[in-house]
Amino acid sequence: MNTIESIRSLLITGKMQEINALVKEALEQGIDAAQILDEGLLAGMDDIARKWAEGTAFIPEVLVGARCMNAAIEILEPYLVHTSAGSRGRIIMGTVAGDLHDIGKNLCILMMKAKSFEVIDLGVDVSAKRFVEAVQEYRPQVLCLSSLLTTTMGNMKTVIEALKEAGLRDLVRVAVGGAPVTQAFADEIGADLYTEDAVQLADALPALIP
Amino acid sequence: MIDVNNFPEAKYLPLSREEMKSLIEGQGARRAAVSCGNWLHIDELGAEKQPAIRQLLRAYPEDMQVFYIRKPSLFGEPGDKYTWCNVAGDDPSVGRVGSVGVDEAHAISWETFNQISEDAPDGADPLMYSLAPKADGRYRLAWFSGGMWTKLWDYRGMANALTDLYMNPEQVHKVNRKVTEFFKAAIRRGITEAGIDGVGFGDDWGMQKGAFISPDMFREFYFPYYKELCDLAHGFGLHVFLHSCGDAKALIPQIIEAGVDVLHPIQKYAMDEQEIVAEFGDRLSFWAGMDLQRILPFGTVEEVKAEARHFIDTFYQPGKGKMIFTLNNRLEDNVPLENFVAFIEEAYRYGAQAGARDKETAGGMR
Repeated sequence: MNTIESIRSLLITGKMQEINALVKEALEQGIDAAQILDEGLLAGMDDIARKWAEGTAFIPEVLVGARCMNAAIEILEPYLVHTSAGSRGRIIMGTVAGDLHDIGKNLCILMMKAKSFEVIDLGVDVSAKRFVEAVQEYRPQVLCLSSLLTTTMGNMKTVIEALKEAGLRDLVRVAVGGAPVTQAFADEIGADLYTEDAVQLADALPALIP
Repeated sequence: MIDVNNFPEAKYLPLSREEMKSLIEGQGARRAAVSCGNWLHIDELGAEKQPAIRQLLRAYPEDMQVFYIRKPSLFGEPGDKYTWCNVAGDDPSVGRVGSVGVDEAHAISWETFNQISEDAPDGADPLMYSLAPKADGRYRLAWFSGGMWTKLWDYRGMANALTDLYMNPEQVHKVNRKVTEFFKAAIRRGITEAGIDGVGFGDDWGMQKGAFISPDMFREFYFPYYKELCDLAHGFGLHVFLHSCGDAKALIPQIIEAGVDVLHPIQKYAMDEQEIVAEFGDRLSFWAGMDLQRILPFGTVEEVKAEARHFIDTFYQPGKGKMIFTLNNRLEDNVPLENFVAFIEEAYRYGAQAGARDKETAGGMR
């Protein structure tokens, strides 16, 4: 197994020091930083996502993989050539007003970033006004709304209505998700996309972005 | 024994503690039991609902007396003993708005955790059982609130907690030991001080789809402590109830193996209730929870009643019992009063029918 393959396969184990050492070794071997990122770290993260989707990996593996990836990216950062073509699209995401749950939102952000989307995280308990302001300011292609509670999922509709009032609805696709959210609910409130989990969201985004 | 004078308005006399034990242990029941227990906090509902629900419960008294032990505070001051954390300046909620402990922004460091005094929380606190109501012949369940897993993310925030299992395993075991010792004290004292028949606690192992952690990780970090508590409780003749939200199916075999007697709530839409009963119903009883994601808040009265019947048909085991009907989580104010009333009325009416059918069958066999 070469160095990049080792990085890829170690990501799921959470062995941060070993991974960091391998990343440095790969750089010393003269391997391009972008290749280490794409074929080592992002590919390893994608492996974890696949295993999670099929039920053979769990949230701790996803999170330790992400932490190891982020630590390794810090090492790669000075060597990476940034180009605007790097991002596949800009996404804004937040948990709707009244709801403080963030683990689902954060998993979605992880999976989207692993697929090279630029994601702006508005955090939890985000008001409709704040979502509208953020859409105005950042002009994302997709706005992702998260909610865990039946008492707050109705606020997703409030956000969509506020986007309409501000004349922004046609400029942004709206994706919704969270434990109580269903396809029927998404249809009812006029959302453009519902997915059951974070992996499906990251997979479905390219088709949603014009 | 149940004294009818204690329940003058009851349309259905509650099950006695002996009947309840028989139901939990699969030895038969007069009807499906019903107890909303700690999932119903009447004083937190809309003011207009409160008198109506209190009246409803006089007509339909619960089959268990469920009460909390007094909860240690999450963050206290140095010198405080009835607290989970008594390190100076530890409380991350000071100067913050919002909940404490669930997100990473509110987490404490392991350095802070290691400074918590060993006698906190104090299992000898004189007020531990001060919330227990007077015994009235019903089964008495003491509720301990969150278990070892919940306590880990209370301390560390959810995302940290999930990575601590890999990155700080010894610390996770220290949290588990602290919770286990406190619970063991609560088990021992509950018998003499509150006449308990069962104890329960909650750890959310399931998400809408799948478990948070792998069965291997549960085996390493949680199974030993669950088993230690269940062994102690069983030694005193107590049952152990466990709450877990979401789809925890992958962990249920170990939950049973550890000794948990009653599982709550088998969350609809996260797990298939019929599949769970078919697979585990011979080894487990259910505090089966009526759905709060769709049916109770958004369904019609007829849909609520149909679902109540479906649940009793699914969970009540003829000749054995094994079902206590309840809510699948805390009742929120978005549930219309008429839906809650319909749920309770149908749970007793149809649950009693199921029990009566049982009796006829048993009579015919004799």
